[in-house]
Amino acid sequence: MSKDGNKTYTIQVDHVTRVEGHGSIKISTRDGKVEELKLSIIEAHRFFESFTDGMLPHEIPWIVGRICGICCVGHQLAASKAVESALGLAVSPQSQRLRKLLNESQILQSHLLHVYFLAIPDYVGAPSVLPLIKTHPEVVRRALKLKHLANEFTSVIGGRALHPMSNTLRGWRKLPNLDKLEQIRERLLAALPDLDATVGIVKSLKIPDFERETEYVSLKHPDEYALYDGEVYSSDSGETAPASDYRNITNEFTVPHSTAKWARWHRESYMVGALARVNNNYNQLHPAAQEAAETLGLHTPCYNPYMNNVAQVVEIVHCAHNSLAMLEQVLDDGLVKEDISHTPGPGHGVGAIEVPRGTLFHEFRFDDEGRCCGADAVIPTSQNINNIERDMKAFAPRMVAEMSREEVTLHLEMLLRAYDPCISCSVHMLDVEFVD
Amino acid sequence: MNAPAFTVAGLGSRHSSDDAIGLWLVDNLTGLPEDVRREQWEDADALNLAHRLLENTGPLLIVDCAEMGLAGGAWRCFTATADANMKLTPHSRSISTHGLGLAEALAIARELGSTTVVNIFAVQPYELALRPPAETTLSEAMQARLPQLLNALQQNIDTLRKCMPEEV
Repeated sequence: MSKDGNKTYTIQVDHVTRVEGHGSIKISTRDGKVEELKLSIIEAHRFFESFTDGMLPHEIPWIVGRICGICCVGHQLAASKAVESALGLAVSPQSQRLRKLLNESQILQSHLLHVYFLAIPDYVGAPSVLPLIKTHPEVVRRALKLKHLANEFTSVIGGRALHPMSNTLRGWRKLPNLDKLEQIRERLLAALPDLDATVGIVKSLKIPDFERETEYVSLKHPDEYALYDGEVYSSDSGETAPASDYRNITNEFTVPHSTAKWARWHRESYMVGALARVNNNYNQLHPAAQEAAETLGLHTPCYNPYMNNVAQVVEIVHCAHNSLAMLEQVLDDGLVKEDISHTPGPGHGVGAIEVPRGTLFHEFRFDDEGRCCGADAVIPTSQNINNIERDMKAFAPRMVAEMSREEVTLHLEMLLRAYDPCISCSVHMLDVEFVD
Repeated sequence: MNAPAFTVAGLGSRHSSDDAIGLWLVDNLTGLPEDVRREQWEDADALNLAHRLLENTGPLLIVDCAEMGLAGGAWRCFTATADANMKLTPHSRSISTHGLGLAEALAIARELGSTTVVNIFAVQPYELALRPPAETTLSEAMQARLPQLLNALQQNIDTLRKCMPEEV
């Protein structure tokens, strides 16, 4: 029996808040049965792939980094890897380590922002983070402190917090200052108790009880928790595929109610992101992150999509500890200026990287003059949207039976927000092949 | 006890022409007394700005580009007190953190107990066009205006320092 007794209604949330971009949710019920449920993506196309037409290789990572103000590092690194693959450019161990640090700093930034400012308000009954200032000032203070630290971490490694400019093809144009790296290391170390407190806060949240098994997809690496490098792993097949096969992995298709493309691999939909990574690569998490997962009740395989927020906290702990270890290595080894010269030429390459919301693929093709003549990007949210709508359809009948309309609305929004979607990025040009 | 340091902080982005006027002015301040601390808060979002305000001790002068409906290059210096039309607007569910700006950063910091006296030296832009990474310049009109703006900023720093509390 519906909690508010009204079994026939339509709920339409035209602009879901606390997500990046515009998405809308519509659910219609009749006599207590869900008749229709749609997650519509209504962002306009952004044509970023078209912007790269005719560009030289070194220009591409900086341009496509602008796809996103949150995952700018991820887009820049995925593009760097794709272009380097196309041109056969080698990247030194020093630069790879700096890139891993840059990527983990961005994951820290993004996960902290999402968990504290976008997700937690749902769980404490606040419409946004702003009312929490009065009710939970210590939580907001901690959130501001950690977010600021993560931003400065990115800034020290990459030159600035937003759209960093130090990384380029093959390596670093301007190396990070070692004294500033030491300061970041000390501040990260001092912030570890704040991460323990973060685990404590999230442990106290009541995560909705809902499970739907799906296919979990992420990068996998034999030697480390895969964030920067690896092959693409499916929990369904238990096997990996090279990133260059990404079109056969994502199998993008269109649906009438979404300007973003959808994806499927071995079954009707799949999930990427923190929960998929933790499910697929749990044993490679830092021991402190495994301990956090245990404390938070995240046992793999976990089929509750709301637990993606918990997985993000586990990854915050992982990235902090892993970054500390990498920073110590950099400080021990020092940094040397490297040759990053290259000659533009023809080629074709694909790059894949794990960004906060999941696996990101970039592909570029260059003509004989070294000008870009083909581009594609498949971002995590466009891979997740199909799975989100299926989660909603699976949970909605129970919601309608057990919850008031307001609670149904809240839980549908929470489910969407649990994926931390970046809807603006998910809408982009359809397949592009430039022809002279 | 010594008087708290006086902080002059530039805000803005160097990639949006006159939006960087605060950064340019703070970069080019010379002959400052020892107790005046210069900082660049380039690309700081509202959340980081709120945290900087919480960390700051002593009086603060933020130098920033502002749309004030004035002629390009005009400036105003004012104190961002609670009644200075800088209040947090209750956006409720209709915002994301991307919608937060300087006013919200000030409000968040105040709500969390910041007692920093925040003064703002605001300059009306001539243009806010996005520029390629290699062209991080102000508009020509703003460049021509820099000497007068630097002079005005210096005078305001002197005036504000005279009003500073002598003890903490």
